[in-house]
Amino acid sequence: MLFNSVNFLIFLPIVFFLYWFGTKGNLKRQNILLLVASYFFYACWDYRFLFLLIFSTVLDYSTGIKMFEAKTVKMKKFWFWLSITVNLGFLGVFKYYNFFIESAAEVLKAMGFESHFWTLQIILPVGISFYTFHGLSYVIDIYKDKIKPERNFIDYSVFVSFFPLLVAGPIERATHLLPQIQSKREFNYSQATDGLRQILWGLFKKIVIADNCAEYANMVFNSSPGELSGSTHLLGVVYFTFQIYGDFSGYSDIALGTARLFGIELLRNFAYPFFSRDTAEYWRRWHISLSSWFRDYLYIPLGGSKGGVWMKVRNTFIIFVVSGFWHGAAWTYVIWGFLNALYIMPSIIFNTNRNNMETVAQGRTFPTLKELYHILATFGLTVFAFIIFRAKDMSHAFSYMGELFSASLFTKPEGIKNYLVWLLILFFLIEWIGREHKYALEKFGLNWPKPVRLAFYMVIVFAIFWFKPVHDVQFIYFQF
Amino acid sequence: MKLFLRKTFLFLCIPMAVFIIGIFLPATPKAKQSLLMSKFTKDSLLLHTKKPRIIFIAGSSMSLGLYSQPFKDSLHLNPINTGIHGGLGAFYMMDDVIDYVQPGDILVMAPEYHQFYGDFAYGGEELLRAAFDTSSPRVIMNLRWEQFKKMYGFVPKYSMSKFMPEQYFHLTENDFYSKDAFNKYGDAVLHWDKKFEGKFEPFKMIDGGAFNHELITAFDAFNKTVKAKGATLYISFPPFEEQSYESCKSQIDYVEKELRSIPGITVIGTAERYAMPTDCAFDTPYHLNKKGVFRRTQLLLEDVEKQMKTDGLMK
Repeated sequence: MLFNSVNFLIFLPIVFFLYWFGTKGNLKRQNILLLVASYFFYACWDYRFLFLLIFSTVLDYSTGIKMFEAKTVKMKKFWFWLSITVNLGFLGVFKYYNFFIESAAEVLKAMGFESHFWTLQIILPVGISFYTFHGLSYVIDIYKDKIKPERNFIDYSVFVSFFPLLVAGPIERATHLLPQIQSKREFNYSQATDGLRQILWGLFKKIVIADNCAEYANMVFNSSPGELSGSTHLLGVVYFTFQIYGDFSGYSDIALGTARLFGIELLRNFAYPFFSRDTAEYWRRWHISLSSWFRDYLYIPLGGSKGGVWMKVRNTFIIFVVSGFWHGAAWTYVIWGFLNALYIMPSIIFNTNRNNMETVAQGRTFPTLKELYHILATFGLTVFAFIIFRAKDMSHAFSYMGELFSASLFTKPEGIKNYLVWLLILFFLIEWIGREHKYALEKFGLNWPKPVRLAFYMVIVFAIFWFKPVHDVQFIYFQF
Repeated sequence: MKLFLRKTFLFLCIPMAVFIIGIFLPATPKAKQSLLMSKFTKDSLLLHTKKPRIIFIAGSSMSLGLYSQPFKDSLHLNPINTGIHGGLGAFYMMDDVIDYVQPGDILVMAPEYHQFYGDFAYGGEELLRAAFDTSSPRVIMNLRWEQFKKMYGFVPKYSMSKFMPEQYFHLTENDFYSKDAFNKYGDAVLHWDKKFEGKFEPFKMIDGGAFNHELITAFDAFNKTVKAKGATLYISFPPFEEQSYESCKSQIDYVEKELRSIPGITVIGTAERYAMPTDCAFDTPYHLNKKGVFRRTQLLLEDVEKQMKTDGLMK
């Protein structure tokens, strides 16, 4: 079930009404309802993988308790590694099996050996990377005595499978979400209206911006060599950059807004990354829940920044490469991660990676020329890296770059749709104005006369219906 | 909570009202010029054309890809070209024609290859427009559940279009995609002497989804109903520009194989025979210019004539 589908438009109000009216404010009933709704939501994709989700939940729930109750360190380690191995094993089999087999076969072939490995027709269970990371963080936190295990199986299951975050995050932490699941929740008018506003903005980003940019980006990335000009290739990857931002941050906004309708606050996932002044800032603002996950569960355990520059460099490369690999079983993602590590390296070496911690041009309307230059440079690097991210393979990426950096780069791009250019300008204007808030529409127009504000929201609603593509377009991050 | 529900409900009432009012507003002046309005003329042809008749069924590949006069001259059959738009869907095309079929009719159906993949055959925006712009209860009554499911997603945009100024003012002159583009048999001829100004783009694949086996079942049922009415159904292939044909060959071959596997159905010609040289294409791989129309007409005429002789329907 997609957030941008009519099915979800029916599903959400039903769950909302049952949650607030059918449970009579009883916490246990509310959580059971959320769990049933979440499993139904997941089963709408493929009910067979629901069993995998339940198995993963039971495993982490049980090993969490076993670890806590273990009388010896050895036993504690046993349960810990059991959970880690099984979780990563599932991820490895479902997501990376064919990649490893095919890569091994290619290496052997290059060495002159013929190999006959079996590849499997494996379907990637939706959201496996996300709920596995949920579970891992829970188990690691218990192992490190940061939290105590959750004894209530329903509460723990809701933590893992709460439907707004189940298939594409944000990747939650037990310390943040579990206490909310365990606490009595009462309807809060301003939280709910804010949630609806965030959903509206998320739908706008996804349907109006991402899905319309996708059409152009797909056309360019699927074109044959020599078919389109360099400038069209440039525009294609810029549109893809807007597409992936609108798609994923739009998804996150809908997830956060939906959770708020149920009185739950999820972790923020995006903070206007395209207004970043350097790559380090960009990665603090893009897919925040994943970046912070890698920081807490990989970078810091590896030694973090404590061991001098060399240690920092090594650990940074590791987390970026692993982060790239997390996105998918392809060399393009690994190299995309590596490239981003290269981007961030100067600031790691010269210790300037925490220079831009506050929002750009805070309290001002316009950025300085220097800030603007840094924003554009960072954006340019991001766009360039996305060529590799979007390409089918590395040879496609290189051929795309070759097409882009050609004499025709300075010609007029083909197939520009004026309405989309105007929409993008309007979109970034609103994002710029709202950049100091959780999401751009949070305070936008709140001081306007009520009818004007309502008319503005109505325009967004109609734009969503008007620009909606013929078919519901799946969110990009579902494949990860 | 009550305040939240009341405000949310009132807010949602506005777009809902726009959608409901929009859908029941009469067709806009622009919509009245659209080629979908040719449905009236084509229904009238189906109702009033005298026997012996030959009825051509498909989307725009039929209307912008056939000249019916040679069928009248050579086979002495009164032709009716029912082709309007592929977006109406193959299910609609069959359901629409069947009521008008008379004993002795020859039906030639050449659905676009896209009809066989994904949910294309259930129609899309054009079907919704045909149903509401032509205010035709018959269209709505004949719809299947899958067609309704496909249509409702287009309702908001369709309704909103009724409030757009360009639907009422500064209307452009009729062109080859208008209701007036057809000759007396229902062939689109207005584009014959025009040159396509845009960039012709061959198809790289037939996208949309998996093969729709329900359409094959529907053809089987359609064939049986046609036979029960004392008429004859021939399945042919749409014209398709050769580069597109090569790119989509495996998908087209599968369509051909599936069509030939229907028991009791007569498939005339081959898909390869209707792969048209690129200089015969007009603006899309399915639409032909004058040269292409004459070439396709000749091919189809030969196939129909040969099959009619085989079936003893002509000497």
